[in-house]
Amino acid sequence: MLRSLWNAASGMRAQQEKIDVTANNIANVNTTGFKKKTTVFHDLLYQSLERRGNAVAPAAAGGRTSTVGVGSAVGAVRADMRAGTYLQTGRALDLAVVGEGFFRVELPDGSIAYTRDGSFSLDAAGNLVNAQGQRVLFPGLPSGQQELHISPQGQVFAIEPDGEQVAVGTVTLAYFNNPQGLEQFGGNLLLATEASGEAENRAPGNATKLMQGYLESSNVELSEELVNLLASQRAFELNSRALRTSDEMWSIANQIRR
Amino acid sequence: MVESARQETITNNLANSETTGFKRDLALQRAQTELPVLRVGDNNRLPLQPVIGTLGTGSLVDGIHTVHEQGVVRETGGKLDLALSGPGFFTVETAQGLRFTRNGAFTLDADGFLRTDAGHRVMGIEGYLQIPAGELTVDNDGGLFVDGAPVGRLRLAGFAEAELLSKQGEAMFDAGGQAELAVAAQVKQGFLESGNVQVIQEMVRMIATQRAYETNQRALQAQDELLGKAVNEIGSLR
Repeated sequence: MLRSLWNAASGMRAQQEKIDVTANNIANVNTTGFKKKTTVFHDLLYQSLERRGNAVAPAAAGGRTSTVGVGSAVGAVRADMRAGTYLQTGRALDLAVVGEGFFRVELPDGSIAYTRDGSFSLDAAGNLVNAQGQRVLFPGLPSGQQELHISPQGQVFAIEPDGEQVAVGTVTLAYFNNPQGLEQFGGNLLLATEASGEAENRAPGNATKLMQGYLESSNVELSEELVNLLASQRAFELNSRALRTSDEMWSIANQIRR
Repeated sequence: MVESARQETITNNLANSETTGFKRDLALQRAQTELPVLRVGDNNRLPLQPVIGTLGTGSLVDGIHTVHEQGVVRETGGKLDLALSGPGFFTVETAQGLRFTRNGAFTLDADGFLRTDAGHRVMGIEGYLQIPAGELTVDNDGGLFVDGAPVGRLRLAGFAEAELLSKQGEAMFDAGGQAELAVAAQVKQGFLESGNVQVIQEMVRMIATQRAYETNQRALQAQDELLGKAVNEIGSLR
């Protein structure tokens, strides 16, 4: 009976984690560049029932032993890296990446973080910074340059006061073998991990396009998340019902001798 | 005892109602061997004492069966989410050897190898599957293509007696020496197969289990009372 109780409890705990993930997705429905997370469940180990004192028929020759599982757990929380919707903002320093690729941001300790959130601005010294004031690594960008035009292929043109466009460089983006493996760092930033591999910095090729004056909003689908929330709640309820039934059965066993 | 093993199986099924690729278990029970009851003291027909019936000695778990029915296939849209339609398994390499699973929630690692979300490498027909950058498509037969160029084929395995595969957790099965057969399962990209647990069925089974447990407890109690009467009341002087 103890195992039944723990099985049900493990199911409740796993559903609880899924609800946490779903709640975080819903909270970030309007976060620029946010990628929704999905929860993957695993079943756990299986134990043989064939022990002394258990009423179990031994496995026939060539058959398999009777085993019973020990519940479920969250196996992985996976990031869904599909693109969100693109919103036109008209700001010259709002950039969106269509296709794969990440902007690079320098953290205060000198390490590099990656982001799809392209709502940039210029700081007092004329450097391109993100919303938190961290420097965006944008090679070829002359500091202090106010008027910029960025082509979909990543060429940066400075607009002179007389309206003439002067090519000043090319934007490079970071690419990963496995972008799903990037670690969430908060503040819309992601960090490279062993799972994601090393970043490869290159100019956006034909597969990627940069859009100036657009922002990528989150890829959270509210209706889908709400369905997930309802399903998790019911599954939680189901496991709690199983827990109660197992508890009642134990109580029945305890009442054998009144 | 038997009912409590059954309850353990049911709670495990319910806990895994949302586990991708999970196959539900079913605890079967059977009666213990029945013993012949002989008429004692009937010396007329020696040497054989006449059999007057049989006496059951309770029940036992006959085996826990895994039901390999197809689970509900749900659309996820993920490029690396693969579901199998029809019998068959994906082949995965673990530290303990090859394992078989219907959980097709795959991911790539840093070197571009296809892995399960627990980190085991997925096997292709010619070894590991390394997927270069680009647009990945998977056809119905498990062929992998990046930007239209073939990069490998999933190794799909079927078994004559899927019943005999033993569960290893993470929705993986151990073949236990059974030969792999060719399969006609179709691979669907952008879909995942949910567990095949049928919640209502499990719920009903749970209620029945609880009641059967209760009935056995009552029978035990009645027997105890009977014995108590025999011991304490027969021959007591009041």
